[in-house]
Amino acid sequence: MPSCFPYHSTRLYETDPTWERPTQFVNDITSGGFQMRAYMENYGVSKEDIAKVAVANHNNAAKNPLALEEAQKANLSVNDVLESDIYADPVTELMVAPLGDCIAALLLAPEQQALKITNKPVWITGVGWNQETYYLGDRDLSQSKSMELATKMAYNTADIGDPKNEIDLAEIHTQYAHEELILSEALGLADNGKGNLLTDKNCINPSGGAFGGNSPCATGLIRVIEAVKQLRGEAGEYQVIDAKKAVATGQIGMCAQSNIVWVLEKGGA
Amino acid sequence: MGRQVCVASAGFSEHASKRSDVNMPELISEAIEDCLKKVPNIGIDDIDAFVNGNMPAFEGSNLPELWMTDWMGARNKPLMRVTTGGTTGGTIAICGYYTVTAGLPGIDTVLAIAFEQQSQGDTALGLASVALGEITIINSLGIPYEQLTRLLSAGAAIGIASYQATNYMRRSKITEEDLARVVVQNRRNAAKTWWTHLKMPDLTIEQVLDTPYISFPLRYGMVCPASDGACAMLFTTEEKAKELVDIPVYVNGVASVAHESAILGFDGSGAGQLDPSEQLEAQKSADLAFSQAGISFPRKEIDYAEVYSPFPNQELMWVEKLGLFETNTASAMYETGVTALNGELPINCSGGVNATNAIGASAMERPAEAALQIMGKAGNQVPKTVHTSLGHGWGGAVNLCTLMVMADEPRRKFK
Repeated sequence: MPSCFPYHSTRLYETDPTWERPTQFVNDITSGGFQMRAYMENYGVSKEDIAKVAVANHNNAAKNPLALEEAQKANLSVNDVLESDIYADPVTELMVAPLGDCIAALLLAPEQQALKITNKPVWITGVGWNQETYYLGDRDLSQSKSMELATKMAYNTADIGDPKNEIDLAEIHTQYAHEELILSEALGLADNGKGNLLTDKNCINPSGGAFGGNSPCATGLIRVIEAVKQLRGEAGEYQVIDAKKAVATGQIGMCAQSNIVWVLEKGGA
Repeated sequence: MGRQVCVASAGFSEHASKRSDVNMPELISEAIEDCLKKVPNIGIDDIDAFVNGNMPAFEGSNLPELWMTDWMGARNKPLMRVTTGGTTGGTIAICGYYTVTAGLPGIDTVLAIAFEQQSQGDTALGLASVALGEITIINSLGIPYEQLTRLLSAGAAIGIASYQATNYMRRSKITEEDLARVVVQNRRNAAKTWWTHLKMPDLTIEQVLDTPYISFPLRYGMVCPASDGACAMLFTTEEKAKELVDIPVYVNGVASVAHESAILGFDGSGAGQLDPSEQLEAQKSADLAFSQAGISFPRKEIDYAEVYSPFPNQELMWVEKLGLFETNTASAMYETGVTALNGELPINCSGGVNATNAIGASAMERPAEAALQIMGKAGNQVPKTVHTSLGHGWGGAVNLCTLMVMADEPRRKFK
């Protein structure tokens, strides 16, 4: 848990103060359940498929020395995830990115200066950000409209036409396991409803993603940094072989209402 | 350097101590409406991206831009929230500038919105977590931290501003009457601007000096009000601005500089050894913004200034620190009418923060008014032609300064 403030009560103050906050039925916890249910029912995806994502993330976190100690679970099984306590049905405790304290920092420089500082620069070739409407009832929760639009903006600048083949890895800010599927589909890395086919390829969140520690305001920047580590070949045990292009994302709001995408490319020799 | 950026329009909501007739989204939509009304050829659909912000959680709402999305017209559009305390508005304006100047494909026109509805929350409580006077000293007198935050004399903005004021008074040898004179000018100006809060057309120095002290030397009559209100600014490219308005306002220099926290000395936030009236960050940001704008002699080249001064001593300080007047001469300029509406260098003709303070919006209302003065569309328009103006913001733990320098022609290197 972030050590100095109550996370969920703070997030309750994110909700509409007139209609939703007084009843507290719709909040960051329950909306996770709505979103997972919508995704499962729309695409016929099973709980097991989503539990596998949580397992993969926890396994990856075990290889990441910077991940939260309690999140480093090398021997987690799908059954463990499904049998953990209910968080917001059908989301279980182990499908939620565990909260933690973290600080992250990034040094940016223009091209000429960057080449003087390092021989392994990583170029930012595209950025996109977008947000969709607030009311959950006005949204298709099985997809992410804001991520699609942000991706379009970022890929447009980065000149990426075929993300499935061009992007080598993605570091995605997820609050829940099922969001990894929804958001990677919105990023164009898989067809709608087929995000689970990527789980075994280990190209999504090789660092363990937000499951290695979710400190809400820093998580997006940590995703960028993890992608940079991969492109610089500095990711150690969880290095993706021959990574040249990566995307990193950040999000905020219920059911990832607002999304940011960075497209990063390996530079230097 | 990126693209040249222009301000095409700026708008305000009506400000008052309690705007209980509207909620937050309705308040900001008033400002957006006033902003877009001045550029008839543009509608909310033509806005490519949004920047939005207010003080963090002062209204008891966390990230209100999430549920306000549709009221701003920002659905399915890029929106960024920034919040930096007192300078929030200035930072939002600068962020609007950056979003345009970056030259991202499809992003030419950006609406920047800053607001605060203080009547919905507890401002003094919010400020107590940001701005506290000499904590270590008061703690050493035996007053525990929990009680301290409830003491106005120690907490919130006045607690720290009084140290700043006494330090400045000692340096510049001004009197309380000089402070009251600044207040009188501001509130009389506010009476001529439609959107302001404290309108006092007949205020006199004696009336100000007749109010009780809140914390020496600041009297009740000298202190800014707590307002509800919103401000919006429309930033766009040079080409589009020329199509939209007769006089596009070129943003020629921006700066946001922080210095070491001058007063807190608590919990590791600064040494607490600095003179709070020193304000190195104001001097640094002036250097930075003026050098971008190609201004070498601000005293001669700036025609109009809006500075962020909740307290009158700050107005005197800023105009000196920003290079508009010689050190320790500011109060003489107010006495001789140089800073009045028809003076050589009019300051805060909207009444400034001293007459209207919707905190998150205040630092954006300064560049917004400064831009409108160049366009000739300000509520209390100065009679002379304004070619170059500046809008200043101040906040943080007495250590953060934002500045936007604008003109009716592009910056020199673009000519």
